[in-house]
Amino acid sequence: MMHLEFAKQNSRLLYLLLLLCAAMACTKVQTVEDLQAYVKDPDNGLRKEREIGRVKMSVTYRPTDLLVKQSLSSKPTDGEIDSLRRDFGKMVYFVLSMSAEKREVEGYALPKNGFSDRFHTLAFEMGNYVRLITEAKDTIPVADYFYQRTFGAGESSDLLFLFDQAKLQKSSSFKIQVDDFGLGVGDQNFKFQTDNIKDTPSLGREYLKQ
Amino acid sequence: MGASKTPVPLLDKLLPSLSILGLVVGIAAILIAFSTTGSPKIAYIKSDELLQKYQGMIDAKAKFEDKAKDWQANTDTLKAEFEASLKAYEKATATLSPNERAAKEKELRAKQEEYGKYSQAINQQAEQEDKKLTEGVLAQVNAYLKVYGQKHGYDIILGANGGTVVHGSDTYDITDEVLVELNKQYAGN
Repeated sequence: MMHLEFAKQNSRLLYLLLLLCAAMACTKVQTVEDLQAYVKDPDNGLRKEREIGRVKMSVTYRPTDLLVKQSLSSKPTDGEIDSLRRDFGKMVYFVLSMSAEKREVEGYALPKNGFSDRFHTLAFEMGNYVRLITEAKDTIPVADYFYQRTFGAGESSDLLFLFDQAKLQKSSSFKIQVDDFGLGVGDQNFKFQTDNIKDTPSLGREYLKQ
Repeated sequence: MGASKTPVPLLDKLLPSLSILGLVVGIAAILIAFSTTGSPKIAYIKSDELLQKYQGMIDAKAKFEDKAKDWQANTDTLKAEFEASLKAYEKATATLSPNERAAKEKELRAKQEEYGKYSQAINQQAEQEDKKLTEGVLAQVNAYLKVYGQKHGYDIILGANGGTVVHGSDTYDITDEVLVELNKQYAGN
């Protein structure tokens, strides 16, 4: 009888241990590459893509920890990590990637002498063409954005957009709306579930300290 | 005594039967080939209806109308300013000296010209904007139809518009099905 009780207690302990391990595995990833792979996995709902004619567009969530890792000095302290996480955590980040026949879109479907206009739009005006719409149809404007120029060397034009994180909290889903700024593809909507954003794992502290 | 019959080789006896059998097998093979390769899978969509009910087109039209309202408001303001100036001139004309009259008329002609140019520019802009919005929506729909066709195994999807499909059984009309999925994609799903 006693050995039965012992076995029952041990199996409960083992079960709890397994649950704990599973929970830890779900919330942390080992490396930047793991986190990037997690984001790219279509099952995780953090990347939406569309193909319209010769143009491919995608909107991908960029986890805070990727930005934190990029910004950390070598051998950072806990304080530095927490501070950067707090600062970056105020915003939610998305990368809009656009390519036309595997090339940047700066020169695609341009009117005559339109290159400078297109560049100006991409560099300074995309905040007017992109917005976040919550489930309640509230519009969250672009807080800021960055346009990464690759001068014709890249396969796509990539822009990083920032939106106020706080305004998203009450919405179970939202969409990133991208108006047509001259590519001839019409306005596009990319829908995300807020839970998928919240469930994105973070990088381990020890890894960030490396 | 009668003449003896030459024995007929077995093959020769069987040849007629074999020929008939061969013919039957051949016909069966052709029928099977037709049934397996099949004719192309074709459907049609009522293009006008699809575009009318496509949320992307509805939103694009609403956007255009908002812009058109602003343009119209600006044009109306310019027109009202010109008409007000004209009325004021007509009221005051008896009291003006020839030089003043000439100056006022010059001013009025300039205002009228400004209104005319602005109106023309706005019409051109409206045309371009309408074209841009429509082309964008059509690009979305065409891209989606390609995806839909591949997903559902259609070899050909016809656009029934203005006589392209003069008659089509409802069985092949996939307008509603395409619309549901097209609107889902537009919503971001």
